[in-house]
Amino acid sequence: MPPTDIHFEESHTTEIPIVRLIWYFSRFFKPYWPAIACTLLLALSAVGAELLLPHFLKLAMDRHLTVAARRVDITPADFSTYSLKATDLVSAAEGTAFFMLPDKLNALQGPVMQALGKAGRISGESYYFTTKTPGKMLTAREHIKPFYTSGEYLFIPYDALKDIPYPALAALRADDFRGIIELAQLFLYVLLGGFILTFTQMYLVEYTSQKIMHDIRMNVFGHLQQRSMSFFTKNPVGRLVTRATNDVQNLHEMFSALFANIAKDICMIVGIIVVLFIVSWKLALVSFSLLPLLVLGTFFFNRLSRSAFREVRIKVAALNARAQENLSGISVVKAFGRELHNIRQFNKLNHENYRANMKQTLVFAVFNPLVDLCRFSAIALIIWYGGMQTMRDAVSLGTLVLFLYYMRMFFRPIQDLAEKYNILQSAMASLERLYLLLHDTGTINDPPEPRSLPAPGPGPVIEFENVSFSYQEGEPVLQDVSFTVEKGETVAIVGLTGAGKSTIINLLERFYDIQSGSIRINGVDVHLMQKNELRKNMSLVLQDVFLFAGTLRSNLTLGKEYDDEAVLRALQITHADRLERRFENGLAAKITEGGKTLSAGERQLVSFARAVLCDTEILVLDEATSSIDPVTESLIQDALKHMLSRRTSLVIAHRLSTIRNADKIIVLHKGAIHEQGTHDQLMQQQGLYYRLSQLQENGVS
Amino acid sequence: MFLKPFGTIKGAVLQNRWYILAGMVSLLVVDVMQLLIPLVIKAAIDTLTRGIESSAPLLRLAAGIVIIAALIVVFRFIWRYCIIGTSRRIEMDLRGRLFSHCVRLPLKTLLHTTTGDLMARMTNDLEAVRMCAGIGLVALVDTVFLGIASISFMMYISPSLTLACLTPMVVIVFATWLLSSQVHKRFARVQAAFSVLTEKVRETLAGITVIKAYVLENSNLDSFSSISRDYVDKNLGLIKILGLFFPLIMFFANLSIGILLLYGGRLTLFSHITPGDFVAFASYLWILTWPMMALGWIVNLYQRGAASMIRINGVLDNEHEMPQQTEAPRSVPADGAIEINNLTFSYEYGTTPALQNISLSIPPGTTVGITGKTGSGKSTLCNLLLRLFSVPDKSIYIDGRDVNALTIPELRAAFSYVPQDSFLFSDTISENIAFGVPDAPAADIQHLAETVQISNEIQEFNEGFDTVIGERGITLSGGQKQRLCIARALLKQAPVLILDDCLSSLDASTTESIILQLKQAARQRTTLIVSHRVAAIQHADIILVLSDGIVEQQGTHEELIDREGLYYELYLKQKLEQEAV
Repeated sequence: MPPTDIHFEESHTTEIPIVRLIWYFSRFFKPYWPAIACTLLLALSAVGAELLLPHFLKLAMDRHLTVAARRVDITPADFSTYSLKATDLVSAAEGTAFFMLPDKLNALQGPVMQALGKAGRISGESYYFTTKTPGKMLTAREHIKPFYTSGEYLFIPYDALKDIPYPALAALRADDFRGIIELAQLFLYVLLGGFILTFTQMYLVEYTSQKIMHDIRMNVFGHLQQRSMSFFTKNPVGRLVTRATNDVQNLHEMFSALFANIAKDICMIVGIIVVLFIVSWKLALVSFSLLPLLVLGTFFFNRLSRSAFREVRIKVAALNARAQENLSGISVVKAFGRELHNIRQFNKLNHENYRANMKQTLVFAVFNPLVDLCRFSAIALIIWYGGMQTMRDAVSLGTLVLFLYYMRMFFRPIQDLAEKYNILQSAMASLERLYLLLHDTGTINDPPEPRSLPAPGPGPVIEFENVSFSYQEGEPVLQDVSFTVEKGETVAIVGLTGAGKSTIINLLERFYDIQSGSIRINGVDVHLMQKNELRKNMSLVLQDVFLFAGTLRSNLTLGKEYDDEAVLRALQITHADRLERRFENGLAAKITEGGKTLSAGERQLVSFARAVLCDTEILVLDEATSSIDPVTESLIQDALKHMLSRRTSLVIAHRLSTIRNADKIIVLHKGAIHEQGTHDQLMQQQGLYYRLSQLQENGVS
Repeated sequence: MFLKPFGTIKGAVLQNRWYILAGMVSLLVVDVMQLLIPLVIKAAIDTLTRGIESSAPLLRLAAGIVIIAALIVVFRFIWRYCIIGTSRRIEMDLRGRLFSHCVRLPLKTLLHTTTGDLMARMTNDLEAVRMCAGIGLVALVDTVFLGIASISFMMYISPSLTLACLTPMVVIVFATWLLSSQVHKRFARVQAAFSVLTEKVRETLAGITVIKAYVLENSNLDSFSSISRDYVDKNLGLIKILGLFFPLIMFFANLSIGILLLYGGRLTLFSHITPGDFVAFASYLWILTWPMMALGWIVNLYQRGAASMIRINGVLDNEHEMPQQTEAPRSVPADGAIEINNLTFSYEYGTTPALQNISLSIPPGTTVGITGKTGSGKSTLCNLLLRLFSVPDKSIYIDGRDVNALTIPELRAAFSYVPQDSFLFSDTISENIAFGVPDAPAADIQHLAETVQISNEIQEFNEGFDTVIGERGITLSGGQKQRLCIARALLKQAPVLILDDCLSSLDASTTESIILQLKQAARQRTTLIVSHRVAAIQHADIILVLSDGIVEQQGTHEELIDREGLYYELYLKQKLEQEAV
């Protein structure tokens, strides 16, 4: 009996370091690096476009909307006291009033301004200023008191502006409005550019990630097909299906996130940090002071979240395995009225899956709002600290608004990253599962320099020499089995149930490797040739018939090229042509999943016809006719007789009558050859074979 | 109209109504808090524009923001936990229902779908529904609330500016409406392709032995490749729409800010609004871009969810054959008298009926042997007795009652059944034997293992009766599987025992002793034995010989061997074989 440590649950303990996971799966990215580079570049440009947008607001504020000069009252003597240059101030026509323009305000930070402020020389009031024209002067004289002029400019208190009626104000601020229109135009161009970049980028990301997923799927599928048979006894189908489909699908979001958003988000974050440090490094430093806290929190939640996701992937696979099995064996479930019981079993797993998901939800529900806390605290800091700076004219109001704006933009990608981080964790859990699967080494290896299968020579076609084998250590299934099958011979293997008959076939097909002895085909050890070549030269009809969804024809040809005539002949030989006639569409008749619409006997007929059609040198029949009625069976045998005379065949049978004419009969008992010879020889020996025959005879008479 | 496909989850939604309510309230609290922040910012800007002497007001405003932030953190946690949790519960509920429905579907319905397809619906489609019901719902509430609130605030500042800034919104709504049916259609295609992909993998793994034996790995990989590629294509088809969708919405959302720049700038210049208003307006617009973008996202989530929901409903809408209640069957036929009355049956795909005009009366305690050529309808007859396929009215009676008048659990409780395919489950040997009687005592299980001659082999396994056998019993030999199946049926002491060709993989001596045991068991109940072996059925009270769905011969062993015919032929064949031995 092959290993039986099948479990719906996998181990939770294996943990693969993320670095190794990424390194391993990076090979799938390699073919697409130009596309990936392109997406990153596009993402960068899109970020650039998006980052530019708020800048237009700042420009509008500082240049046109809140452009403000400050009134400074000083005497000419004060110039030296405060070490001011004549160019720093614009002298108003009246008395001691001087005006400081915004560019000087920003340039003259620090002690000078503080000293001026302390001395009460700077008024808190903001003044709108504009170039002096006769028309503007007229407006000012008519509506405003007081206003100031210098050689070049006209200064009006901001509060007074609202007293000016609309047409006059429009004329006064016409230059500002022109500037706004220009900004709006530029804004639109940037927006359009961003639109095109984003679309191209999204498509490219999807294209690349789908291609990579396709490659991974192909890889997983190919790998699964190459697993040794013992692998399949250990892993339920549903679990493996989950790996190849759901787990790969689960990577999709990570790829989109990776190629599009994460790069974009990181660029955005770095871009904002750089811009803000350039604009005002002090304010930036204060704004970002909470970041280390966030990084720390992330590390802390990392561990929790990873193990939660790992559990989720395991539970999903377990659920799928249950569902798969129940649906495959549905008729048994129904016949035994086990529906409700099995539903309860499934619901238990379902609930465990829910619990695993909730654990993950909880971790994230705690983590995610923490990002918010950081964000709003940063905004609070900007208002408090930045506001004080603005009071001292160390930063402009526009700068403050810019900071507040960028803070929103800054935390959006961080929020995004937090969300992506979740996706990433989930994907990592899937990657880990796939990694473990792809690193399963349980395969029957082809030799590095395979020998080709020679044409049958004078020696035996099949030769078992001292073969010992166990599926599990310490539980030998075959012990020291030796026998030969000559060319054209039919050799039968009989024995009690569980004697190891099917194992011999498993070994002949090299589904498993033997522990000692050797198996040779046409004189060449099966280990020395490619599995494919070995199997291509044998046709196998198994006890457990498997039909694929498709047509009757596709189930017979298995994708190889045969003309209808050959297919029909194979059906005739196995007396399955009745089947073909029964169907309306003949060979094109639809076969549903697993051949559910055919009876067991009919499935065996199809499987038999499949082997006959293959027409290889060696025919291996494992209980090939057990569900076929004796009349049909004997007809098949007659038809096979002339075919088998040219072929070498190995037959396992329970009904001794069916193998009476075999050239040699091997009686297997508890994994060892008990006796062998022709039917007559064995009957004369009056050994195990004789006793088995007696039993069957008694059954009938 | 929009919620129609989601009628299925109404119950689960109602069950979680308090969670949903708590979540929604928290969500709204968070939203209100978020809307307060621009107000605080506006106050700060206006204060600074006017000019202030002390920093105390700033500190107050900053403290206000921190308090608001703390509240946001708490309530955000609450809604996440409540609403995402609810979506997980809805997922669990739906998965449970889907599974329980699938298991209770009539076999005939199941024949039309593949296991892989159902599995895909239980995973990928459920995920789409969950996303729609969880994060989609959040996004919707968020969008509507933030949208309305932001718009109101903006209206308060300047109605004309608000209207101007919202014109792009009209385009977004229109574009969304235009593209969303495409998203639905294309996503449904993606999911269908995923089903095909899942089934391909499943089938390959289930039939791996044949694939290996016939060296089909490469050709199978090729066909998998084309299926996988088709899935890729379907996804790219979807992204062509989605890729247009999001940037388009972003474009129009940002266009609002452009309009603010131009028109709002003008209003500020001309003192219709203050610079503080302008900044606050920009803040609200910024808040509004999220709902506008979210609108696209919601439509995407909704269309995906709806497409998947429709696929799931496609399964749930099939009527199942089991009563909804879990109540124990009330009146199980106890005698096991079977009356078959002119039964004609055809699987819909066959051209000729699988059974024609079968009539047979089986008194309680009788043993009936059924034989006939491969494909003659023997198993079909067994399937129909169990009503695994739907039986025409008035054609099969058990204890005088039409089988269609009984509930499925009542009917099936009357049968012990050994199917032709020895299907076992990946549980322990004990659990497999006790499949029909989950609480059977260990002694009974062991006794039956002895009856079917498998006890010794089980003892040799590492963990004896607690050995877990591989999926489909992959780790057992054909004969071992058949014997376990027989034990499984015998443990369930039902009035009727059906043995459908269940000795085919057994060696002669085992067969012999099992037949002997069965004969004893058969005395107490009605037994139907399907077999090709004369030995297995010769002692039957009635022997039925089927041929192409028709009763060709009927009688006792003695009667039948006196007549020319199929039975005699079978007998002769086996007799001759034995004599040759």
